Amino acid sequence: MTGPPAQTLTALQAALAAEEAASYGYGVVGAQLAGAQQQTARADWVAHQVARDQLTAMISAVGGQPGPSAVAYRLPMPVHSAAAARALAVIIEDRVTQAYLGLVAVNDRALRDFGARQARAAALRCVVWRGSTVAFPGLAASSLRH
Amino acid sequence: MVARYRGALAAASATSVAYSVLADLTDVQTQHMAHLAQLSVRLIEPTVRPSRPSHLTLPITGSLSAVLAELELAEQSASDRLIGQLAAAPPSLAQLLASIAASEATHAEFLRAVRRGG
Repeated sequence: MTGPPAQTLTALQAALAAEEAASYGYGVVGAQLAGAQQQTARADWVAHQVARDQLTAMISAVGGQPGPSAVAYRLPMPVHSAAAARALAVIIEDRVTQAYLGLVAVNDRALRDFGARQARAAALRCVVWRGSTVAFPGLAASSLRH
Repeated sequence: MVARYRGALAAASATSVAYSVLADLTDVQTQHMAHLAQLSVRLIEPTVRPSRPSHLTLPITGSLSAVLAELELAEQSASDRLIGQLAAAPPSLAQLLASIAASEATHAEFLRAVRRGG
């Protein structure tokens, strides 16, 4: 039996790694927030856990070994305030969006669709934390043509 | 979409809409111009031909709320349509289309928030 192309498995593992990091990160985010924002963070945290479990199942289903999550992650900056927590949530969602765009590049119609819908969901969560929209969620400036 | 936002901005300017809403609408219009610019340099490949809905060319009229509601619908439809076109696109174009689809969905959400006064 042949497994999925290496590119597909790599993209799935990258999405899983991003979701695992997001699940960890939202714990940090939620701890600095209160009220409605904390509830939003909690809902986002749950969404990332659901996606993480889904990706784990998808990787197993194609015969892969889901990558383990880290015990802890190094945060991109200290998070000791609500503003820093919101900024971290933006970074988390950007990275998740980027990881799902990796799935959009694989040669599998269903996975492309899944990746695009998940990237869209992450961009929608991100806009709540960022407070504004962007032209190219999840795409690095270097991947745009001028 | 750029032209539609021009119409929306005109409608918004004629009403007592908050300056921040005008600024945000302008930002969204600028983002659509960026989408257009990226698509124009890439869509040399004949594999993907974005469909053009017939209502796109209709002028925008009515109250600001109606204009924003129509834009919201257009953004959501455009987002869904792009996701439906991914299968036929080469990988890097598919990623661009998916990113634009995500951006358009956030525009729809932004418009919804403006209409609700949020």
